Amino acid sequence: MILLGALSSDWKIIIGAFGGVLLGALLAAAGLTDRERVKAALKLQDRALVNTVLVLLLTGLVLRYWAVRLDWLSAAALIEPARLGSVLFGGLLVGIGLNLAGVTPLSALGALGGGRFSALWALIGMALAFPLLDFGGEKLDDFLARWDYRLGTGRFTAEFFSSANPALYATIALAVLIAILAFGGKKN
Amino acid sequence: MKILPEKLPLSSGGILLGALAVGALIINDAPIGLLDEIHTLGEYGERSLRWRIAMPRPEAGWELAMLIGIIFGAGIYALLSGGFKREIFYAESGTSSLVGRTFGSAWRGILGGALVMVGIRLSGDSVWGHLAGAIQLGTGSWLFLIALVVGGVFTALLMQSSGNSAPAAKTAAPAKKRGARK
Repeated sequence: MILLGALSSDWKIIIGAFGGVLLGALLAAAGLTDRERVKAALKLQDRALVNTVLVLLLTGLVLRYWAVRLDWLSAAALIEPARLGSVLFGGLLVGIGLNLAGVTPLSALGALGGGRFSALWALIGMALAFPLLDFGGEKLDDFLARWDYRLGTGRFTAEFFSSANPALYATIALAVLIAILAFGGKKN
Repeated sequence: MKILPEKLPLSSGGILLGALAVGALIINDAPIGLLDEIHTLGEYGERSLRWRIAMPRPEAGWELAMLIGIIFGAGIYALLSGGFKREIFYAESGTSSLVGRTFGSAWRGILGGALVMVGIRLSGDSVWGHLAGAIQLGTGSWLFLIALVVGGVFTALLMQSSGNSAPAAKTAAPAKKRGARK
């Protein structure tokens, strides 16, 4: 497979820009740059957006499975190492922040492109987080490195594909559930 | 001009985004969360402003091109779908004075944005990066997404019950109508 690392820097920039345009267009098309829809989804009122994210995960899992089976992708592709307390606390903070600002860094850029200049408030907030992180980030990192529980990175192994693996059946059940949620019933 | 649909039918946006995430994994052999570039830009801005010293400019690499591409991609789609919406203040900041709307939007956006960035920094990747990590069955990414949903839904319901986001509840009209039909 073509790896980005093997390309010249000019080609990397061209592919990066093209990928960005595609990602931005898809984020806008899926409604993920719309703050009101994100907030409505968090209030459990916009089911369509929740379905979109669930379908994203399901499609990604299925395609990734086949990419590994077809040797297009290494089963040991890098997964960022994570720590239990950090991901849980970080996820909670992002959830609370998302409820106020309605955007993440990437969707804020998309919202800005779509004319929602109110995303600038969130981008200013994100920029202001850096002095805060600069002040306490290193101490926090040291603390977490000492006390936080390091999680496994997760891999597709030969055992995973075995029919004896209960996770496989759980995945199929989950896929059916998501399909019913996504394509069954009335849409918002 | 309305060449493209404002909203993709069913959940096809999810299918295309999932395919894009895996495509990015295939060409990069790692999730593309763009967190490093966001950090580089943030630190460049922070140090330049705080210490008023000329910092070396961040290198114009593919990650920066991707961030700029996102703005253009969303803009192009919004223009072609007729969804381009000029919005300066948040809906729930009210319709009172300019100062009131500015303050109402500023505190929500700035506090929310700062919380998002601190959370992302703590968890080690952006939300997009964690979605790609979850696709790879990364335990940390799944836990992050669950915590995000719990934190987001709990705060949203709490704010709704306290009446803080009453004007925004107007956006939930379809859900209310559905309930009323029963």
